[in-house]
Amino acid sequence: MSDFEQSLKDHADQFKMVPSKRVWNGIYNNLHPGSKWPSITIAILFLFTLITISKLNNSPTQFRDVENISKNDDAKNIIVSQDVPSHQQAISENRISGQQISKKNEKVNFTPGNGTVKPENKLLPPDLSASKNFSNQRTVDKNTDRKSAPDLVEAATTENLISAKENMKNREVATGLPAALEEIKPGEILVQLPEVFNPLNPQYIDIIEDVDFGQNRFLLSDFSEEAITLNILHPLVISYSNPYGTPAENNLASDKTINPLKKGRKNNKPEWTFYITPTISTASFGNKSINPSVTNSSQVAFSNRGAFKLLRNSRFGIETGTEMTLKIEKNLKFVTGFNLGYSGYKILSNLVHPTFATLMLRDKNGGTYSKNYLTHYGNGQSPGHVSLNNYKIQASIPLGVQFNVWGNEKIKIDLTSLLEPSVVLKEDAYLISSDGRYYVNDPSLVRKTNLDGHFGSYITFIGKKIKWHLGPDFRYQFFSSYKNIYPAKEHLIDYGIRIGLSR
Amino acid sequence: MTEELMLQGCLDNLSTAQEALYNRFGPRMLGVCYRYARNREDAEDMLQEGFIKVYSQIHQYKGSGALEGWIRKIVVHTCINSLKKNKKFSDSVDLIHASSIHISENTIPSMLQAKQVVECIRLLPIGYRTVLNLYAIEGFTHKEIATILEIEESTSRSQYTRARALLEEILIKKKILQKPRENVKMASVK
Repeated sequence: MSDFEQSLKDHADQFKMVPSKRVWNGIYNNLHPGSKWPSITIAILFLFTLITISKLNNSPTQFRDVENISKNDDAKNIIVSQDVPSHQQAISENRISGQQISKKNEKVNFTPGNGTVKPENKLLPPDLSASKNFSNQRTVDKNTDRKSAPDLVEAATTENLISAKENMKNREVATGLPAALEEIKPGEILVQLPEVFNPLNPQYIDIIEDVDFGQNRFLLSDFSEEAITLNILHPLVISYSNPYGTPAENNLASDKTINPLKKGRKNNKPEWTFYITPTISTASFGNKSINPSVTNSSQVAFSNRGAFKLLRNSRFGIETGTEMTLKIEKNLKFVTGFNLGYSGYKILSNLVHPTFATLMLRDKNGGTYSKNYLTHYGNGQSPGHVSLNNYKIQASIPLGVQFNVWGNEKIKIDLTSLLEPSVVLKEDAYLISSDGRYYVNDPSLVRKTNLDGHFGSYITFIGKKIKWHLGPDFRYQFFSSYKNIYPAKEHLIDYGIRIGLSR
Repeated sequence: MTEELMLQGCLDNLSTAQEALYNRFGPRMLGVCYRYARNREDAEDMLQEGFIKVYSQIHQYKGSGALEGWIRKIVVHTCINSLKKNKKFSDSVDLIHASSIHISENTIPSMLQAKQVVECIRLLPIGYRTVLNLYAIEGFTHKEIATILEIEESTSRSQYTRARALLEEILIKKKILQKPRENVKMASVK
């Protein structure tokens, strides 16, 4: 080797360059492909876990359990109120006539402020009372005979005492009911249920008039008549809309999931999309005034009815996850995956001197009980303003369909509709007390499982290697955020823009 | 991290050890790739491919020679394979024939920066450059070069002769080397 070559080699060997980061990233991804998509592994594991859980929950044993529960004495009140024709004879001797019930349940409320008299048909659920104003107005004249309000209250109290005695007698006879109730089938109850809630349906009274209220009156004799009737009727809504309604929805979802998968496995390759959705979260109370009190006649709740206003602000939330789509028809895809979301809202409250606040809660038997909390937070705006964060972090499994509205090789538009069974992983909750004056912190009242409706419209930009998805997203929580024992119903709503990426 | 630890970690497929090895030898190997490649992007692609081969074949390293030399060998072969995929490269090697060119015995001034020399090498046509790199810098024989590039041994020799002469011209033009008298004479005769 000549001197020229040697010097050339020496110089060339000294030469160094700093590689860019993409070189190492490329090497790393090639050497460790398993760590490239860790979320896929987690998503699949979680998916299988939740599918297993949902299968266990939908197994026939649960239905049997429900039926067994309905045979228990604890559930007697619920069943009795819906058992119309088959047991009329069994209780015919002891039943209260429609006219009697009408009289007993039309209670007169006296409002000291304006001196007006407001009759309410207490057989109706509280939400429906407004729609009965017209009929109530007619019964006012009929029942009050244009008497003064204090006289009416006294008369109503006397009448209640008499009816309580009658019902105590009726209760003794009604103990023969459970044997007959075993013949009730869930399907029959579901069919009859709409009639119960239809305020304009004349059969409403007919159904109720067959009910033996004696036991309820006896158990809750410390409460006013208003409280008693509510305690009977609320379980109708809660117990029968959930146990029989939810499995039906799940069956629908499972019908959607099973068939497409069978098709897709043969012909199609699933497409995975990873997405992130910045959202704005808020809460809805179903266009109804927030009523955290179980008993409308509660003295405190009554006096503070005007204060039942939840001052709240929206918050930013976020959703992320992975979604698998599987083609089932030309323009239709089955969608599933795994979603992780954070949502909530801010309550505007003020600091108050530490005090005890009460929540009136329902027990399993339809009765009520109170729970006291020490709190520093009041409902309202005043000096010492403080924001309380109600939030939850939840994991969910979307199940639904995606419909391709329009598209070409580079761009397409899809509509997505999903049902998402969800599990709350972490939460915090400030609830308004029954008198509407304070907020108490009790995350244990948050419902751990829920069902969300998820709707979106996405534009997909198709590149050479990847696809970008962009579009508005909307989520509505079907069941209340809180357990049924807490009377206020809150539904979280999220609006957002989804940004997705798929190969 | 010592070389032994790095090797053991790479054998165990530990990313920390792999990254340490890359950080130690990556810059110099990129310099090697840069001499063969058309541009920096190509050089980085070659480096990436080369290191992936290094990690996948690390169990074949017996410790008999320097680790850097072993890595360099793999990287150079990766560069050559990458170049051979390009049809223009094959053509450039085959079509150029040697001619009688006087080779001077000048040496490159030692104070010269390595980067300047490498940039001058990169000014050569890719066929010349490859043979020059392999013979003068990597130390392969013409027979080995002929095997590697799948050309005749004589072609390799002539390519090298031509490449060296051209490089000298470039170095003179860049005023890195002084113009020899003989070259001046040859130019005047022509």
